[in-house]
Amino acid sequence: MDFESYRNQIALLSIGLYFALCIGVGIWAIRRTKSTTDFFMAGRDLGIMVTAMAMFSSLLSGVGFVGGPGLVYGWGVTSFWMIIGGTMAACLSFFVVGKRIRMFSEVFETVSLPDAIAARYNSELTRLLTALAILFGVVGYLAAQILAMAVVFRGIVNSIESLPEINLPTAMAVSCAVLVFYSVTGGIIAGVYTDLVQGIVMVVAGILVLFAAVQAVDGGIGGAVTYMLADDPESIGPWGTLGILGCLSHFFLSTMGACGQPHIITKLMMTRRIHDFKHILALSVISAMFAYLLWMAIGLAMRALVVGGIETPLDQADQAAHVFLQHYAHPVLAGVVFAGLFAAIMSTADSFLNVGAAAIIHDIPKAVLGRSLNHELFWARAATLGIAIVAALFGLYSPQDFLTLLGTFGWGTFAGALVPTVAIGFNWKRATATAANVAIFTSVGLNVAIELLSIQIPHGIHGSAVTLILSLTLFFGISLMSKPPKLSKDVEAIMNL
Amino acid sequence: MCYTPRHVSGNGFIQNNHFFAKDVWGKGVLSFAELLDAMGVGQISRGTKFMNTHFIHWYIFATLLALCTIYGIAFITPEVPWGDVVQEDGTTVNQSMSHGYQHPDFPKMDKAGSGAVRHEKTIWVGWALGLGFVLFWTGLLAFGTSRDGNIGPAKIPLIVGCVLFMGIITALIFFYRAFMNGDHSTFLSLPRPLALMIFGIWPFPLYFVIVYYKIFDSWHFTDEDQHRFEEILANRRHATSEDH
Repeated sequence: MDFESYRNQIALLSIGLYFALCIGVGIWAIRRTKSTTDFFMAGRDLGIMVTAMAMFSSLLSGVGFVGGPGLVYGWGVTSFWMIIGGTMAACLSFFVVGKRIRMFSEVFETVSLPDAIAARYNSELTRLLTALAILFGVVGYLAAQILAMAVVFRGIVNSIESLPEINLPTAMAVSCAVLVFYSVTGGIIAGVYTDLVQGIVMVVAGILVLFAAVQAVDGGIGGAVTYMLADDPESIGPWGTLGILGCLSHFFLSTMGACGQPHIITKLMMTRRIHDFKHILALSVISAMFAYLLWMAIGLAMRALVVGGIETPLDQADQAAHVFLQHYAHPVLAGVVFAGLFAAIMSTADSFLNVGAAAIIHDIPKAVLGRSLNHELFWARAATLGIAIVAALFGLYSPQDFLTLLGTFGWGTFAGALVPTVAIGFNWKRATATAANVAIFTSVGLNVAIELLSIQIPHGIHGSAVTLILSLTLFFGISLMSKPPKLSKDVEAIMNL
Repeated sequence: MCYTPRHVSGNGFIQNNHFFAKDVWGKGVLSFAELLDAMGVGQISRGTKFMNTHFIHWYIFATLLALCTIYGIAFITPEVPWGDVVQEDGTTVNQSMSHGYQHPDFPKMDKAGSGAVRHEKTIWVGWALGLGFVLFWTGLLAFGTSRDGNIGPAKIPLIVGCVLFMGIITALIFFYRAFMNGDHSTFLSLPRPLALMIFGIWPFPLYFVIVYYKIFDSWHFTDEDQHRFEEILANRRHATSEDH
């Protein structure tokens, strides 16, 4: 069969099958979602495989499939430090956060990260600040992800001549509808079970794409290295074009930052047994390493092909994965990877929708009114739908600058705000609520200031890495200068374990 | 108060690092533990609670301050200028060689030029940053697995991992120095520093995954911890139901 003639049709079919699977999981998960604990915490009943795949697929997101290869195309090897950081981040999350946050979750019957933070610090203000930071981050991140999903979907549909052309809002409505359907019906249960499929797709895609990339360049890896050495040796050196200090700042941020990502660490609160963590870490790290092969292989191959004069230069660095799949991957593999791309975006988006809904219907009312809403499960579903609509509208109609500003409430802000509060605070009895509040304020304030004022940090150092170091230092400094807080009996007992 | 490890499922009691080493790493590494003892590390640990939690938060705070200092040095180290580069929209931007400039032939790509020139003043700052970060990160791992005054069996594997990791970072710096001065020899088709990065640094966290796996049941979360946790849970539920 001539697969080549049906390349775009195969891609669309793969995506369609994936969408159908997501809808099926959503329908299946309706019956299992009977309470807010089910909707937000999957009933704290997730097994090893599901948790491991959900954690790593949420971590990888669309960055791994689109942004990552684009970064290698633009900066050479620089972004490999983010990949190394990703594997180290998983270790840190389990060593430092996993056990204690899981215990807090069950003892205090928490349904969200701000819930657990409020229990640890005995502070509704800390809960409110955490919930607000999460909410802003969710809208900004989702807007960008939903827009990216719509752009890719429209591109594939419009490249098939037999289909009518669709515009961006239509593409957004279709792709967003699937995401919203399973997120509303099945909550995080549907989210994590689609993550399981998404994780498997990403691992398979990572391995297969490595072989395709090696075959794409004459001489394989050696050939690609020769082209890049001839053009700019530094691009294939360990620091890429960004240089040693810039690379290490990205390394620091990606390694430390995972402990502050609400959509990742809430997965640690959902496991059935604490004893499962030792298996989950191993499975999650090994799976992520295979999936990261796609980022490295496509990026290096595309840069080598372009500097070698074999491929025409890209209009945008982020097109690296798309162009590679269209020109150098077998159509069936390309179809799997395109489905994997949607999987990657949706796995993070569904988690963000879920933590955002928890912030709106559970944490903010609890912090402001002192109680959660009646009929929480209904409002959780309504809030999920509402957030998705707001994010989609932001993606379509907000000025690019505003979208970029909202985007700063992403990885870096969460890292600066929540790494001290969670990674340190859940292990250190001396940590105070004031220190946590200052860390959150510092992170949000500095990240927004760096973005609004277009502050350039020397040597390509990432601004959020500086923010993270400052918020950590302030957190320690303020806690050490304060009187040790009086902990409740249960908090003390958990922290002794 | 020092946490005294108690029952370990089927493995007896952990009283000190020797016993752990025997259980987890086998005879070969037990000898290494003895070697550390001979060097005084083990004695320090038992005698003065070296690296206990009361110490660890100061250790982490100190490494944080060190990282702040290194970043401060980086900020005042001048960048290596490249020159004006005309953008697609016709504007001119002064770009730096230190963190790459626009590729003259491919607009969406950056280029770096001579590594020897741009890293002349920053390579040792970078080395210090790398080591500082490894010390901080492994300190956090120790922090996360500590039990009210003790890191227990995780101590030696974490110290060994930290030292090895710093060794690999240092080796990378030396490999890169040769590379930036024109030695483009390869290993498995990759330039040697990149090969070290991909085959040495990238998989290295797997070592810590194994450490976590090995210490989990015997230290990080023992059967007795599970039992204690269930007690806390039951007491909490009882108290909550009485409140209602």
